[in-house]
Amino acid sequence: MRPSPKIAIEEAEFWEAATNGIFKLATCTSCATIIHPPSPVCFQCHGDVIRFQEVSRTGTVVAFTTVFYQFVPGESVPYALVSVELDAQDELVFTSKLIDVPPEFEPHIGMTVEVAFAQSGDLYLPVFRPVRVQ
Amino acid sequence: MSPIPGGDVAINGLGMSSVGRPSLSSSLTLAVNACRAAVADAHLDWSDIDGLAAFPGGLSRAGSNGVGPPELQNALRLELDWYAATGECASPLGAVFSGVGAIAAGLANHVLCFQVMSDASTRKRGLTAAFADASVDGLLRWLLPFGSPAAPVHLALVASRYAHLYGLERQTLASVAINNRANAADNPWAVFQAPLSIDEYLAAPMIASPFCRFDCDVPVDGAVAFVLSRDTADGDMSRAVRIASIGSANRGRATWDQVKDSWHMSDFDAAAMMWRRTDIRPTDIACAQLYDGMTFTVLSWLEALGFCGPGEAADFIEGGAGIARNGPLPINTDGGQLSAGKLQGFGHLYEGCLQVRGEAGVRQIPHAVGSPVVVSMGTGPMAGCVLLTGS
Repeated sequence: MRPSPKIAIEEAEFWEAATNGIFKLATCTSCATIIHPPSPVCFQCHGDVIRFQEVSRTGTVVAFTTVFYQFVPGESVPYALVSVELDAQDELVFTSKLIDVPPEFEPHIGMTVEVAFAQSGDLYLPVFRPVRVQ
Repeated sequence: MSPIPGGDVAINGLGMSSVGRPSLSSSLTLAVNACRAAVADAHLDWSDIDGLAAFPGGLSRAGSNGVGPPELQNALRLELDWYAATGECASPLGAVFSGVGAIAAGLANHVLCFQVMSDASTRKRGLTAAFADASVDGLLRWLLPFGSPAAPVHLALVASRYAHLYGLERQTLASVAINNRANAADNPWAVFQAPLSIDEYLAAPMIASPFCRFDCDVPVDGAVAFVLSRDTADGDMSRAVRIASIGSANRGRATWDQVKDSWHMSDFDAAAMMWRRTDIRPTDIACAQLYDGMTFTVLSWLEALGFCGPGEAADFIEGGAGIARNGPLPINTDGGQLSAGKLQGFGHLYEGCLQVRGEAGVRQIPHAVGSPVVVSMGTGPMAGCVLLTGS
């Protein structure tokens, strides 16, 4: 079976939001820094009151690959994978699959994408889709 | 006493088990065989060993290793004053660095450092063993479920960023794989010894673009051990390899994907620290054993260590001529992890010591004897490097 992430109690809101089609990330209530992967402490100000808040769904591809090898049982290959710098904050990168593209589609750096959601087992995961196929 | 703490610690003995794909022996047998060879090489007895350091130890995740200090202590009934297994440190070399620290702190005089790999056996049981847990915890929970399950994929993303900034031809990656294979032909323990052609490389199945199968290192079963001794210890230290400087720094974002210019990984921090603590310069280096978990990590280390500038690795490699055994900077003279086998940095350190001691046989770089040699390991969130010199 496909491994799924441990849903830690303090991160449950990320997954609940994704199930409802909302993109929420951990945000420091003191200095508003967005923190991904989520952390119980802000790396910027060391504030420790972290809340999940809805953030902008758009971003720019900064790295990509097409994965051909099936590392994880049950994973369908090939698929396009992208690291996206989110518009919400400088150097805030979210890595996930790129959907709604033809098989073996090679993304390109600088491509504009937006968050969508895809079901994986019992979970909904944030993924990306092109804002327009260029 | 060296001005650098730990600078009076030397690598006094080397040992390696048989290397198999897979091995029919247990990991404990492989570990004991490597350790026995290292202790004998140091002209010591088991009773001299008062410290034990391992990477990563016996409680590591499924997929590699599985012998820790307690199991080895019990097998040999060693009388230890200090021991540690360090699974998250400045790469597997960090286990050696912790041994250096223990000696410098006065906790031990002769530390045995070992690592056992069992990746080949794990793969034979099915690669799924590494992902047997249905629930993924740790940093990987933000990568694996999202489609980035393993280092070749994480590094494929990094390579795409590098290619965007500087350009990257598959031929450059191929020249690293072909160089290492050519060196492996002269290494008796290398698992792949037949020459690799560019046509074979280009025809190989893709793993994650731009990487194909020949860009990935080879899982093996095997163990490597070192004896670290205080320089002033009793006994003959004439063959000892000196540790001139260690790079163990980590200052950026210790993740795989969170830096926009993500090719700038922890190897850059480690390399900067190593050079900061020595007068030896990159131009003094006789050969380098650079981490080649992927072909691309050799490019990254060449730039991190300042052998060339950012984006200049392809020019430096020069289609293979720049890194060949008769070239200006011989790289991975034993075949490295791409062709000799994935002994996770300990294989690189073993070959580095052989080169300094002048014991690398037909692979010997003549001017490496007693000269500065660099060994590096790791990338992404964890990396380390060490500068070796003669006694």
